[in-house]
Amino acid sequence: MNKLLVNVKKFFLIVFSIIYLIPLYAAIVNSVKKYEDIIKSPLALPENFTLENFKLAYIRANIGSLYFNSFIITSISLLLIVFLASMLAYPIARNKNNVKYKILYIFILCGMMVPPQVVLIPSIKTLKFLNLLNTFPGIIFFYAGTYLSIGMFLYTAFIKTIPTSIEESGIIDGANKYTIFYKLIFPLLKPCTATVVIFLGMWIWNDFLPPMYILGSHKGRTITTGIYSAIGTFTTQWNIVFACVILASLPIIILYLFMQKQFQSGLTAGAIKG
Amino acid sequence: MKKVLSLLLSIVLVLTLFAGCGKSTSGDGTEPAEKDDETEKIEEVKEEKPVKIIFATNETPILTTDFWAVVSERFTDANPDVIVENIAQPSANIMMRDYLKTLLAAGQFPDVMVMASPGDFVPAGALLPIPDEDMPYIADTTKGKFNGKSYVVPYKKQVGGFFYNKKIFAENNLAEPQTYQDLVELCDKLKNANITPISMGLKDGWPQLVLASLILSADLLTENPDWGLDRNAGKTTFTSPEFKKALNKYADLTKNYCNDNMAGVSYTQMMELFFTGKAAMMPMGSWLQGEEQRVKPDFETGFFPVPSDKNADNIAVWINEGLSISAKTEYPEQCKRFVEFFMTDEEWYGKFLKTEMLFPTTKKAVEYEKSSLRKEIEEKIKPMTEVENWYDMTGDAALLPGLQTYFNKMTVNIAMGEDVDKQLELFDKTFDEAKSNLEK
Amino acid sequence: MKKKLELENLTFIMPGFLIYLVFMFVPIALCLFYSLTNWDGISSSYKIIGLRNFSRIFSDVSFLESVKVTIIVTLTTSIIYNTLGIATAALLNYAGRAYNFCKSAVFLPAILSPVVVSFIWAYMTQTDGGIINHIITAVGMGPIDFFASKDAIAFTVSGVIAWAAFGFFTTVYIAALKTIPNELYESAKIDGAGIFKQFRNVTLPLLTPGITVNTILSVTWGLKQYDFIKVMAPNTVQTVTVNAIERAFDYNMMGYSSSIVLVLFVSIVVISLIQIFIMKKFEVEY
Repeated sequence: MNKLLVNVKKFFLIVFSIIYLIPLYAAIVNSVKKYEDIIKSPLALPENFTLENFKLAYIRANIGSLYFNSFIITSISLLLIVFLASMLAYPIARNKNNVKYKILYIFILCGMMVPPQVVLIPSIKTLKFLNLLNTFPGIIFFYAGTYLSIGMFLYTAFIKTIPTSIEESGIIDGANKYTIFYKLIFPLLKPCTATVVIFLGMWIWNDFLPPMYILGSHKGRTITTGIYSAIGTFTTQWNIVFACVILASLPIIILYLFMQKQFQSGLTAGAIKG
Repeated sequence: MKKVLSLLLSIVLVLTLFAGCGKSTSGDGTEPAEKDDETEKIEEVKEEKPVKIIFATNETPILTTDFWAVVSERFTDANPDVIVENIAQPSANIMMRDYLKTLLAAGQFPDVMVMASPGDFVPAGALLPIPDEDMPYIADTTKGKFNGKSYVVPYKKQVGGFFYNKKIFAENNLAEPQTYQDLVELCDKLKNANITPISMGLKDGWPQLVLASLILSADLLTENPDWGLDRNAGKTTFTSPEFKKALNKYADLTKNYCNDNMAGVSYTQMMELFFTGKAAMMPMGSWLQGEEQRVKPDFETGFFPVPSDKNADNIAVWINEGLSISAKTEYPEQCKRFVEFFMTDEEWYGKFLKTEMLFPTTKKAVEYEKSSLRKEIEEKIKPMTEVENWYDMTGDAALLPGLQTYFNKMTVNIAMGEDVDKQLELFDKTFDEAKSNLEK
Repeated sequence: MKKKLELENLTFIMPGFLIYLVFMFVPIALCLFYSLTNWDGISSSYKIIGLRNFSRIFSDVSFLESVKVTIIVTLTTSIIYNTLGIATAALLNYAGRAYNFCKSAVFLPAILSPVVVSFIWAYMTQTDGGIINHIITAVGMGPIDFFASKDAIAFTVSGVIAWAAFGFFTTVYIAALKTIPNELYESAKIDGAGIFKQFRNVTLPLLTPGITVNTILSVTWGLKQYDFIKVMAPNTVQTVTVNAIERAFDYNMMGYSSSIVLVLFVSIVVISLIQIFIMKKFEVEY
């Protein structure tokens, strides 16, 4: 009886999950159809399978170079954020009763409350002043500044849960603080680093307005801004829209399918401890 | 105390270090930084390298990157000392005006640009005045002046009105309306025949204002061509009876005679409704012909202007868009040469006009292969009086910065059923704000 | 000895601190400065006008309208995440292939770009030819106009946002549920508590840290909402962020726009603090 109930529950859960994913199904299935077929039967499997949409989207949006740009920007930004945020968080987490560090903590936390879009113009001004506008370093530093707060927030929460006895053993061995941090502490931060990399990586990859304005128009579009502008001219050509949409999301979906465990457990580490 | 001091000192230290860092990163960054340093330029002149000017185009589905590249290449072929680099807004969904403002704010204003709303830029001193003698090739240089000075070389003229499906009109024995009353009756007849009279969409935020603006041109500007000047001088208001009446017409048309789900319909979808025969008419500018050719070359389309209460003898024209030069450009002479080339290179200019079946602004008549609809429109408007398009009035009559945006939103609100009087009161209030914002 | 320690700490702090200072704090400070001026965003000159920008914000109709939309979006999405999210998490908090499939399915939309999600849903919600109305009409009901009025649009977009981020919040709840030791349920069962009583007396109190995180995140995200509204309904409804950007770009009112940004910023901070305060109280109670 009980087992039957469980199976019925499982069945309904799976049905609901599938319904939940209908939009994605629609996007995928319609990206390999002709326009006329979408109008006729939007939910059916493709009658005349075609990759023409992808070809058009690929050429039109120049996807190859968009992937490259997005990859470079995302990976270097992440490296910078992980490096800076973990170091910044370490003394803050270890001096949690010191007022000075508390103030520093709150000061940096303020950055989490600001929507990046709305400080965009002052950011552009700052980057221009530093001669970094329209460059990859410019957008990378912009991301480092924007997401440092959340990185520090997650790392601080995580480091607090690591017992100080670990460092004490290091001090006894005569290691200096840098060695202690990189040899002993940093490896322990792996779950938190995974969270930071996965989430910030996702946000940076998917980000929209800042790269549009900071990178400028003609060179170095990212994948998201690139497909947005390519779609701008196709609005009802849903077959091509979906091809663009899928090309933009593909890398991150593949990454997700391979690293599901890390995605979900990374979240555990980040959110619960925070 | 000492601690604070040491903290400060180290901040300064690292800051200076960092500044050095920043420079080097920009130097060997993946993208070569734009070289606009003074020294850089001097070097270039010494080596007699060609100078580079940046041209900000306005990309649309028809005026593509490749299309705009033609003029730049042709210009450099004829003028090897100048290279023109084209840029465009990052996305077709971002208005060129907004993108130009970002560039200006960031100190990256292009040398030459496509300009449709000089009223937003002239007060900031961003544009170079162009004396009449510098554009001898332009037929009419009297329009669009700010304090007696021109800032835009108009490169095209467009007309606006209702495009209609000839087949539907013939099947229902309908004739082109001669007065506004005729238009309403026509719409009623279509509605009774179960045909959506007017194709309309609010999603993109601008197609609806074309209708409102055309009604305003027919109602206000035929009576008083200087209405815009009067409004800017405070001699009339947006709550005046004539303005209210025009907007109520717009409210009536959108409420009763347009397709459902207007808010979710984009410009592209509007065209789909019209060109598939689901709606009988579409109020739009003559650029729709570019789409007409692309979407349906053998679709039978007719055209009539928006009638006023009395007649249909006036045609609303857009003359607001053209080329502008940055006030801060280092190469004004080269820029002017480029603008002149744009307007006088017949092969290019003809090609440019052909894209959207435009009317030339040059003294010299420019011929190109015209569609039958285009010929029909030309014949039809020959005896008519030209009035400016209300929304894009030029020069001192132009709407103040921000008012176009307000008007966009107001027309969306009215189409979605909000109270006309209230919206117009707010319009007046927004006008006062915009005016005080201009006074420094 | 102590001084050396301080200096060492400083070397840890400084690189990150400086990046933050230059690329985040300076822009915020500039924003603060602009809010006191009448700068139009493009001229080279401006006047300092004190607090005049702030005094007109609350009589600005378009701003107040955007506040209303922002509140609709924030409340709708937060309520969905934190009620349906907890329920879904409780249903899915088991091991097994079927459950894993469901967990992945629910989480999948959360990794997509807002731009991508908006485009997909713009298609789904079309009156003519959209999937939802395709299904509804197939069942024999009339089509729904998801864009009929401003409020309808605000709710439609909220629904889309909720669809996209639901998996994120649910996954956090699943993780939080995992931290609850099984013995507590066992002892509750011995005390004769049914499923609902167990949920009320064991699950909910121990879930409080998770709820704190999720409510704060959901409210903060809701208040900062930009991308979805901008792509799905660019010209009909606005959130505060969209309104601020419009003031800067369309109205040439950089100063005023900056003051809106600051009001938003302060509201987010205050609301988050209130939330933390309330949730702390709950945590103490149990």
